[in-house]
Amino acid sequence: MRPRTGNTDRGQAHTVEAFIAALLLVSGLLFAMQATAVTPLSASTSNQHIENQQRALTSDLLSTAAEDGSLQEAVLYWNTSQAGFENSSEGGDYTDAGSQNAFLTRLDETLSDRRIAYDVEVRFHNTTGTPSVDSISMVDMGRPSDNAVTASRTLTLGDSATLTGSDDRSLSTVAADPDASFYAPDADPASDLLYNRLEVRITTWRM
Amino acid sequence: MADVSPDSDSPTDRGQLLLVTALALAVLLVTVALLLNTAIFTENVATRETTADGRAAIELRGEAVTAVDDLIETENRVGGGDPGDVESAVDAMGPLVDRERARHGTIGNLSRNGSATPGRLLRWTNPDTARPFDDPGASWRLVDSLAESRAFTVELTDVRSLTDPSGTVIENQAFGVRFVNDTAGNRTLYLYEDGGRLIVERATETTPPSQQCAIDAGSGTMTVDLSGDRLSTTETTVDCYRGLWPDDSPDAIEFRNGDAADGTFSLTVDDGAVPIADPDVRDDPAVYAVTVDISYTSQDLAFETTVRVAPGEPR
Repeated sequence: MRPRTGNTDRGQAHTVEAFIAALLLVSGLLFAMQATAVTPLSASTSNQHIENQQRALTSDLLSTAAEDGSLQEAVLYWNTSQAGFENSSEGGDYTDAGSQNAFLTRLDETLSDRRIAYDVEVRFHNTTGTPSVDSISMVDMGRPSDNAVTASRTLTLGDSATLTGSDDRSLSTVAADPDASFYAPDADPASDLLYNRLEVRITTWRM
Repeated sequence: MADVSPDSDSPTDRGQLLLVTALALAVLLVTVALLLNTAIFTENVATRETTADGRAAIELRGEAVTAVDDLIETENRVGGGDPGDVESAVDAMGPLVDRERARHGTIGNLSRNGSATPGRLLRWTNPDTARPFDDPGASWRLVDSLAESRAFTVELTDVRSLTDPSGTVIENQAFGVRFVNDTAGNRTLYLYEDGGRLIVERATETTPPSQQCAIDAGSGTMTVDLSGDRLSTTETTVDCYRGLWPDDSPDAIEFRNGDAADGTFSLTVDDGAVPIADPDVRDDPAVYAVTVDISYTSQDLAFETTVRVAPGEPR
């Protein structure tokens, strides 16, 4: 008996076609979504714009802070007895946006208001033994996203630079006091002029 | 494969049609995405800086100059003005710059070009105590045989008031700073207060005083940055746009009508200059300038420059 060529013998073919069609549609959608920033954290070409803007913003912010002295004030806002930044958490760094000094206030007003999270790290030279570059966290708001950008600025500290926290002694005086400590050692102990060079590095990302 | 022909056995056999529609939709979405992506990328590329790494190189230069500038100022202020101290500090800074740049995948270098230039720092004997400028006389020469000078500031705590004065009154009564030039002629800046404002007028040997700059006097100290062409108080700063420092380098500097103002001053001069020998004027050794070579090399850019760092040197 010849099999019927009616409606009932094409189920498998239809299923396979439906799968292929769905696959194509979903692939197209995924590709389209990849090209645009569907969410602030999703990676895409348009995120480059946001990254560029954030980098420029942070870089300009660092430049102005270095120019008016608030950056130096912030890196010297150190509590020598507690071995941490003044008014910071137990870990010695700030874990939230705050206004403890002019630089942090500016970061808070510029970045937090734009829903941008940031980490601030300070790198310094350690010339004792094998020269190396060590770092300390000033602000730690968490782990940056894949679209995080960084900007940095270097500043030079002299031996006569004074701390800006509750202890207002000079760096050379603090270095000579066994009961007090500053995070960066004297990178040029032979001279009374140069103390160290610090690189302030800000990592920003959208929340 | 499903049959989509009109004479098909069943009107529901539209598998191929669905497949083609899906394919068309997918291609459409991909095309839209590609177009959007291209537009965004084009805009992104168009707004990028054209110079490769130029910003980083300029930043290194600016930052290095500021650092050496600070070293000189600190040495002159608290270190005794020994050029050797600044030289060793600049030498020590070189390897640190190398290491910093290496972490960024570029090569940076800061090195001293020759020895530091010695100079002299002139101030009152008690540098921070304001006093009248009338000793050793109402008008007196602060420094002679001047080849180079920089960072000349006068901080005034009190200055004589003159109401709508004429040229002769200004020349005879207002506090003045005279830049003596044996070939180009003298140029004198007169400072007085009028209606709560500090007025600066400039006169030459052939022209009467004419106003160059003015600032609201405020309640505190008024700073006249002569080499920086700026007036400032605790509240505000006014740029005088090349109105204060003379175009020709002065051979000597004098104070005129010194009884018309109280304050302090600071001037750094070259080592060959001859300051006044007076117990009220302090003449300390100082570092005048340091010349440094700065280089920055990245994959796309090679940048080299030599900078003479002399903080506060006139333009």
